[in-house]
Amino acid sequence: MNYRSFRTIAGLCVLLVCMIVCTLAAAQEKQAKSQAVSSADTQDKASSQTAAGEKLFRTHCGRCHNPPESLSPREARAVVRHMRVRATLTTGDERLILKFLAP
Amino acid sequence: MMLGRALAICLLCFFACSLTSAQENVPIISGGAGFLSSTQGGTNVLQPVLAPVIAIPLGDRWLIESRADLREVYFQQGPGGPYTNEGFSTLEYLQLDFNANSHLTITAGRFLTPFNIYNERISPIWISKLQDAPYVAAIGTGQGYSDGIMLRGALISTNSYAINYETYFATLSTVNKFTSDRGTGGRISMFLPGTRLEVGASYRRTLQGTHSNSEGLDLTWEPYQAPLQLRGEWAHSQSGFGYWIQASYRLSQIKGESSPIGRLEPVFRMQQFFRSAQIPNDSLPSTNAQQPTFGLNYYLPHEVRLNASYGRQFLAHTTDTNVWEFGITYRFLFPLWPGASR
Repeated sequence: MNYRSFRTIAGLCVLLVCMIVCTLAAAQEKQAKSQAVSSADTQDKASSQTAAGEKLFRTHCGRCHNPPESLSPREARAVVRHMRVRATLTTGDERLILKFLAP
Repeated sequence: MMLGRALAICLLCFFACSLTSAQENVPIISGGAGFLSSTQGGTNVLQPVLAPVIAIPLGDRWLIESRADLREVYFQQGPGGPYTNEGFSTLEYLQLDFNANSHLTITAGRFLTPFNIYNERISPIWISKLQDAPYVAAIGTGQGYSDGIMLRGALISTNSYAINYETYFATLSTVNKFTSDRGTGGRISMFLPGTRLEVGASYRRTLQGTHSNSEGLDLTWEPYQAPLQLRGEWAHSQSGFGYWIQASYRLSQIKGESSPIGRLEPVFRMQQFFRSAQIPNDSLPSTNAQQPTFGLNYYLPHEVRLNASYGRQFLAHTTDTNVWEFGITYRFLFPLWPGASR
């Protein structure tokens, strides 16, 4: 095995380990969050979150373009994930804008 | 090399597992299509354009996204002359993003070079208010994209202000269709959500050939009180320096944005470039240049937009020319497979 092959394999190993660790951490965090959420005040919270999401959409995304005319909840996830990178949205902003686009 | 292949297969399996574990994530194809025409000094250029964007979310934090630019350009050989055509296809970005948290997103692959605002935010045909890129859009961005790794996120984010950053390192690539320059740089910006005012500063150092620096400043303001957008950039490199400033005002305050008048949007851009050294292939005017441009956009239903503009280009030591542009653009968004929109 020459040095170049070794370097490629080592790089792939590091990448794979990083991805697995990150995914496990994300799954753990998601589980903890879902347990913490109470369902008592869900409805009130949902409407206020939609309003907050609309405001955030106007503040960040609306600076360059209007919201898409029709968007299903499943499509909205991909759109918001894409916009999170483009518009440097925080995790909280991403969640609220998703509530607005796919209530 | 067997081990390398096995690891590559593991990576693919990992992505497949991520995809199936998050079935609510539907890949989408979005982007824009359009037909653009321009007449400069009596010579026409016609361009049908397709710019598809693909976004594939994987799990809760990963995203693969890509955008291409496919266009056929019909050049007229002088005023009244015959046309020749040539096709261009460009992979503008193909990147893997990992959203670690609000402060850090790691991007690897080909990405749009973060220098000032035009290249990353305004260049898509369905967003840009005028067809032509400003002169100084080529400063600090080169071809517009870089191959390497980028870190970005919010350093601080509060209700009253946010400080964001983007930093990258790009490697040299000479592979056909994947050419890239070696360089490093970044942008830092402050955004005030209460007024939708943003100021940013950018820097790039090219790390091949003659090492050189590029610096840039940008400003955007979209007040809530009026459908007004003000945007501008200043940029400097060893080739020269210049600026552009653009204002657009949607007439939606007259009878609403769906009224015939409310669909109109006048645009004005002023730009200047001052050449200080002749650098080959820098995509900048060969001499001092300035151009005021007046445009008018009309927003039709279903994400269709018509645009028209007139500009007067003043180049030093050359005859001034009129630049007329007309176009139609359509923005689309579909799920990548049928039934996913339910």
